[in-house]
Amino acid sequence: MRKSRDQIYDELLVLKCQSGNKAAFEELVGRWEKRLWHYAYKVTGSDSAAWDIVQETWLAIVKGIRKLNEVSVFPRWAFRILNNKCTDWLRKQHLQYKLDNELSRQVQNESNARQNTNVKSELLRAAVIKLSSEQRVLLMLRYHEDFDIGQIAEILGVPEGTVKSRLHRTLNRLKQTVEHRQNE
Amino acid sequence: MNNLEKELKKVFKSGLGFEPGKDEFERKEIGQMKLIFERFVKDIRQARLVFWIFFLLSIGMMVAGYIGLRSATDTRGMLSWVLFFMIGFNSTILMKLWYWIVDTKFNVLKEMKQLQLQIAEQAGEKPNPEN
Repeated sequence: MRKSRDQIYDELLVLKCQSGNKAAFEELVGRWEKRLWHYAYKVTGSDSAAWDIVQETWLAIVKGIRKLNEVSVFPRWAFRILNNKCTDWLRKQHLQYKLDNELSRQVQNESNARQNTNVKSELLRAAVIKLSSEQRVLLMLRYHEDFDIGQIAEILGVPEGTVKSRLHRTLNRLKQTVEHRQNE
Repeated sequence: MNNLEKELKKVFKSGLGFEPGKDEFERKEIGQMKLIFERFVKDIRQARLVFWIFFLLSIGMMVAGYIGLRSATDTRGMLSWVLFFMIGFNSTILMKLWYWIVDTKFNVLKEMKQLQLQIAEQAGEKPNPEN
């Protein structure tokens, strides 16, 4: 598969970081910070937790970046660290039900504020929020971060077959929920 | 990709819910980044420190070996000090060699990435404005 300009540029930045270039590291952080924060926020549902998790992730990246043999795996590697930190946080907090409520409330607020939104998109958005964090993570990695099945399997540390079946189940569940709501 | 998947992509791209304002995000980002950059610089300094400690130890072994050789009276003692000197001397050479290999590897890889980047740019790809 051909790499995009941005992928190549990220790889170049990682190489420069490995040789100790501070400016390159600053640029790499600038390019990835928001993306990592959004992911952490969507998994945890907490603004402050997302910041803490992203900070811990960057500290782990600083520690391990020089040991990264293949620079092209940086996105997967960074997301794997981030995902593990998010999972740890969720495990510690036991806040799954609170998280769902909080996210649902936020979505509800935003839905009310939007005037010209598509009804199906709103139903889908609400259905995504109702999913478990594990299922939401899977969908985010696939449809927001555009990782392929193999890369997701690597990030989550599970076999590709498991990712495929989980994704299939999650999509079916979403489809059923949206259809059910549309019929109501 | 079916309709559901296309719709999901749109939903995720538009955000699932609350997003912080640009100013708020940047303010928090700056505070956090300072700590991370400090850690990065500290990490580099530590690596350099370890290099210099080993380098100075090797030089120390060479000096001690030379002094020992000059003051040794028997053949066995002289051979031991020569061996000591040689270990220090070889260590400095191996460290320089290792540094040269790593430095060259990074330079070659960086050059290759620069070339790939130029090819991608000439093919008409533009940087993603989100980055």
